[in-house]
Amino acid sequence: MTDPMALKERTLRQLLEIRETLLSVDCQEMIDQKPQEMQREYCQIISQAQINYLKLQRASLEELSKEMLTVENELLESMKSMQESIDDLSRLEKFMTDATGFIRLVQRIVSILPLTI
Amino acid sequence: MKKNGYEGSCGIRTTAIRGASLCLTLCLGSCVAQGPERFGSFARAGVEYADAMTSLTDQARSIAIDTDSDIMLQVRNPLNRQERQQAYRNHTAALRELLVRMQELQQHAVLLKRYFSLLAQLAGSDKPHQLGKDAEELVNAISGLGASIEKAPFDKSLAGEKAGVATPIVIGALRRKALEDELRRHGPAIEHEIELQQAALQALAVQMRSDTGISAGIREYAQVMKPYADDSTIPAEWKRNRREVLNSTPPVAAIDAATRSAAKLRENFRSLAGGRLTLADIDALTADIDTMASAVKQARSTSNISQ
Repeated sequence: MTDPMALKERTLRQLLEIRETLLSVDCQEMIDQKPQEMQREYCQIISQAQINYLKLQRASLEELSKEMLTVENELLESMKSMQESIDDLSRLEKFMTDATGFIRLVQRIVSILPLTI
Repeated sequence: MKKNGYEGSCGIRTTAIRGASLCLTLCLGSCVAQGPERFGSFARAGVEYADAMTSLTDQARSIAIDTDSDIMLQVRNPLNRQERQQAYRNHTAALRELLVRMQELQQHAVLLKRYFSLLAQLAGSDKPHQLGKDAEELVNAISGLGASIEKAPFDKSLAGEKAGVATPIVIGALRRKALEDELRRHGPAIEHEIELQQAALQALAVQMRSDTGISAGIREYAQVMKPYADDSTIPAEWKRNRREVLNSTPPVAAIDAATRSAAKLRENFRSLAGGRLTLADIDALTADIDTMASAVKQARSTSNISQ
C-alpha cells in the first residue's frame, strides 16, 4: 500500500513540475496563440495548479510544524534548566566576588595587626 | 525525475531521527568532555543560523506572494469578471494559509535562537573568562596571606575550604558539567529540532527556487518576448527590461548556503556531543551562515530595486 505521505510528496513534486511547465516562456507563447476560449481554459488550469500547489505546500509545512510542536516542550524544558544553571553560576560568581573582597580585607587586617596570640 | 528535496517521507524521517537520537545517546554515553568555549562558539554560530533562517523565511514569504501575484496577473485577461473574483478569493485564501505555516516555522526558528543564546550564556561566552578571573584572584589572595594567615585567630579549615572550592578548575568543571548534563538530557530532542529545521529549510529552498524561476519566466515573456513579437510599437523601457531580466540572478547562493549550513549545524551538534568539534568545523559553519545572510540581504535589496 502506498504511504499517504509519499503520495502527497509525489503529488506536490508533480504539481511543481506542471506549474513550472505551464508558466515557462515557451508554453506562455503557445497559449497566447490559441483561440480565446482555449486561452481561458489554460488560464483556469494554471490558476488551479497554483492554488493546489499552495494548499499542498501548506500541508507539507504543517506536518513539519506539528512535529516541531512535539519537540517544543522539551526545548522549553531544556531552556528552563539552562536558565537555572546560569542563575546558579551567577550566584556563585557573586559569592566569589564577595569572598575575594572579604579575604583581601582579612589580608589587610592581618598585615596591620600583630596577630601573635 | 527531478529531485526537489521532498523525497524521504515523514515516516522515513522519523526513523532516521530515532536512529540519529540513538547514535547521539550512545555518543553522549562515551562523551569526551569538550571545553565550555567550544560550546560557546557553537552556540554563537547557532544564534547566527537562527537569525539567517528567519531572514530567509521572510524572503521566501515575499517571493511566494510576488509569484502568486505574477501568476494571477498572467491568467487574468481571458477570464470574465466573475471568474476573476473567484480566482482572487481562492488564490488569496490558499496563499494566506501557506504564509501562516511559514510564520510558524519562523517562530520556531526564534525559539531555537533563544535556546542557542542560553547555551552561549551557560558556556560563559557572553562574559568570557570573568568567572575564571575572579576565581584566580581569590586563589591568589588566599595564597598571598601566606604564613600570617596561619597565625590568624579564625577557623583555618574554613579558609582552606573556600580556597578549594574557588579554584578555576572547579569553576570550569561546573560549567562543563552543566553543559554536559544539558546535552545528555536534551541532546536527542535538540538534534531532532535541528533536523526538523533542516527539513523545513529544504522545503522552503524548493519553493524559492521554483517561485523565482516562474516569476522570471512570466516577466521575460510579458515584458520582453511578447512586446518584441507583437506588431504594436515596442515600449520605451523594453531595452531596460530585457537587461534586467537577463541580468537577474535567483537567490541560489542564499538557498545553497542555507541548505549547507543546516546540514553543518546538525553535524557540528553531533560532533559537539561526541567531544570532537573543532574550531575549523565552526569556522566552516559560520562561513556558510555568513554567505546565507549576505545573499539574503542582497536578494532583498535587488528585489526592492526591481519593484
